[in-house]
Amino acid sequence: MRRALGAYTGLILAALYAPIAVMVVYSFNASNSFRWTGFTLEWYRRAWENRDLRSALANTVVLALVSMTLATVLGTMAALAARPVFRGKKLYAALVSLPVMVPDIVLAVALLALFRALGVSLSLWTAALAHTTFNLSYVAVTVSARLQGMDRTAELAAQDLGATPWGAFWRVTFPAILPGVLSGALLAFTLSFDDFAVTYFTSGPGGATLPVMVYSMVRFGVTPEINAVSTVLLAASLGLIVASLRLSRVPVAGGGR
Amino acid sequence: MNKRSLSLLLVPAGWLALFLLVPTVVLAVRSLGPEAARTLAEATTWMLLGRSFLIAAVATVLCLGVSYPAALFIAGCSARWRNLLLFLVVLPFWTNLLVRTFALMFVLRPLGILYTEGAVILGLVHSFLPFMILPLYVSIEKVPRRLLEASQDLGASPWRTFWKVTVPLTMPGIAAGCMLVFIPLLGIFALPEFLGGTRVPMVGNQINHYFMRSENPGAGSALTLVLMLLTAAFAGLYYRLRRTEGLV
Amino acid sequence: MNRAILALAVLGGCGPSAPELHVLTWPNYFAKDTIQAFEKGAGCRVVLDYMESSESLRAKLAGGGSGYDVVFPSDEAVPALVAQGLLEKLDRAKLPGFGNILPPFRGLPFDPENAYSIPYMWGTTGIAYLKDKVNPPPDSWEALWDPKLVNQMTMLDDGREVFAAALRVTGADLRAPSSLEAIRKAEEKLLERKPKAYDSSPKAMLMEGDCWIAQCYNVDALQTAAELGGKVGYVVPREGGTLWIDSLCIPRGAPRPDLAHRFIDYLLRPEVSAAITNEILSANPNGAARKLIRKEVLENPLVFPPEEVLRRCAALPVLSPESKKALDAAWARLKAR
Repeated sequence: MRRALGAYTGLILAALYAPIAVMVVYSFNASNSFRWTGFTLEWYRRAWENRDLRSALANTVVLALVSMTLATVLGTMAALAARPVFRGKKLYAALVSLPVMVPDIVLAVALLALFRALGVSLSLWTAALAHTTFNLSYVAVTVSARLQGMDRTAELAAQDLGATPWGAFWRVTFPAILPGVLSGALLAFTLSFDDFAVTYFTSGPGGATLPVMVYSMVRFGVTPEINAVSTVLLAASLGLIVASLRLSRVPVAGGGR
Repeated sequence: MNKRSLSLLLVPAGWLALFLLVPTVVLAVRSLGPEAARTLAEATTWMLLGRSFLIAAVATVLCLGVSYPAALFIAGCSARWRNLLLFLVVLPFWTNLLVRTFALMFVLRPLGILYTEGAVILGLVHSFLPFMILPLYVSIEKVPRRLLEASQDLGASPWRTFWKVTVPLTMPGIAAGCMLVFIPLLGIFALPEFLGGTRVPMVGNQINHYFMRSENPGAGSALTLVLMLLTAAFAGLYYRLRRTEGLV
Repeated sequence: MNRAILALAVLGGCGPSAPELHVLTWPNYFAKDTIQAFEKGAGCRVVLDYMESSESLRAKLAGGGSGYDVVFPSDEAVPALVAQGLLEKLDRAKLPGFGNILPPFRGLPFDPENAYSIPYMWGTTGIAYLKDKVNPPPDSWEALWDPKLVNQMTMLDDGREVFAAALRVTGADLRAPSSLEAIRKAEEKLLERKPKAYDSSPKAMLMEGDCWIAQCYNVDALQTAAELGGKVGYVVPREGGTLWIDSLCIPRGAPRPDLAHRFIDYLLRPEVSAAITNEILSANPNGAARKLIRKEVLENPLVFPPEEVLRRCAALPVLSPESKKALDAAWARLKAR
């Protein structure tokens, strides 16, 4: 039975990676078509020199960093604020988790409607505001999950021993929730980096990110430059994850997700 | 509630009020026009919604079916293998969905099934596997071994143990995984467009059409609002049943 | 905290030192060096955004403040944009190159005084097809309804064009604004079968063989033919096709109107205009550029159609608001099925 399950899992993983393998392999293909005509690094060179591609990559990274930072701060605050019982807590919880409960296109359209109603020009900044909004919820939900299992006695003990509430927070609570906060931050970065729908609706001219650029390229003829960029990104994220795992020695599954 | 908690509360609440509540109100206002009314009155709109729900539901169930055995296997592995396998499952998540979809087109084209409903469902299941496997794994891993052993000691076959012990105990994981997959699937539009062309219209595509291909924000707002209410109600039901103290 | 500072530093350093010109246009609408040469000459950076259909341009400009400096609407979009106050009046003093435009292309009905638009390129809409898959070559819009080709057919992602094709087949008179009855009949006709995809630029699909026959702009068909070495044919059906003109306009609230005017005037230069036509194979309203256009392009009947083809073609008519609403609703319904 175990063997059958194991073979099955292997099959699933193979299917999961099939398109990725295709993407990596064809980034080295000498011609822009299905037939393999030879190995080349030409697409990597062209991707590097493609100004629009570089700009899109920069936009994607900036957007992810900014929204991750803001969302982590706001989301952690929201999760902490939801600890005590208070009037209207159910409503508050519903509000904070709403972005997680609706498809991203709903958020995208809602924010587009807001910006248009306010007469705000779309740009990378409007996209950043939009990203922060949905990331806030994911961070809050992640940290909240971590908070739930937490033992509050240490925190209370610190206060009994004379620490200020602020001090108790920084010395006791925050270190305890840090894995959850980091998990949330990582999740926010990833979601932002890969986001398509929200960025598509809320970014303005020159604010195209990589996914948005790929969307228009797929309609008009993708060049393997995109495969090249994606392979590089895959390798980079692989390196990042391996490095962070080595550093933290935290099991992948238990990161408070 | 002390003052510090209050400020902690108000800042994110303020943000969300501005960027969630106000936009919802704007959408509602925009949905009051004649264009919106006409769109909501048409049968094709509701058939579209129905079809989208059906496709999302089918894809979710298939995703569940495909993922469960894999999650089962991973949960039964040693710690080292577990981490490696989970890592492998999550890694594709780090490539861009649209690029992966385009690569999927490469794979599906020679099979001649591009631009069909099947291709779209295949693509959807494929793209959301990590979202289903992870919560399933977390839930399966929590099932106490002794319960499984006890069941077998009492004479139940592995099959029976699976259906009568494992599955019921992993219901939270199943529910969480299904929500994590079903909800985003309802709004997806780029993937069905690439893999299905016009053959698989979904709500997301139509909303995209109203805002980006045709100048009809009234109808688009109305459709978005309907989608928002339906999914929020659905998710609300799910959270209600879970009965939790925090936000999750 | 450190992350925040880093992000701010990155952002601070990200501001361009050269002014940016934001342009919304069709893909592959310039020659290889057109943009770069302008950037060098004007000392700025041009950021190109691409539109998926001419209707999507309207959608992007809706509400003003889109952030674009130069846009490329098609002829039937201009009057509506003007009526909604979404275009800036052009300062003709800054556009001396306007004199290069051939008289028949000046003062066209959609902008009688060229107060808001300058003609850029023109062409026809017809049928592109893969020669070895579609035999004999199509000569009527009915070919798009051919049961043998139903799974290999695409149409433009543009309600006006899709309905124009159906209206021609059902025999409606297109020089009068469409009546509601005609639109209804066209919708019925279109319901008979569904295209594989709505794609305003079916080049990729034709090249991959995903479609064999497509409603297509002549420019795209010609570029595809050039890349596929003549395996692609293009024809303006006997019922006639759309005659379109794309214009250069400045949207209201453009951040850099002076630079925008400079760019438009740059595109009016004969050598620039001719280079574009030579490369993208589109017909050019610029008289001064004629002598610089390659002979094969000038004599290509698919680029500069002969009189008898032109007589069959017509610009998309301006619809009454009522008709426009009916058409938009029908178009949305078609997409939802």
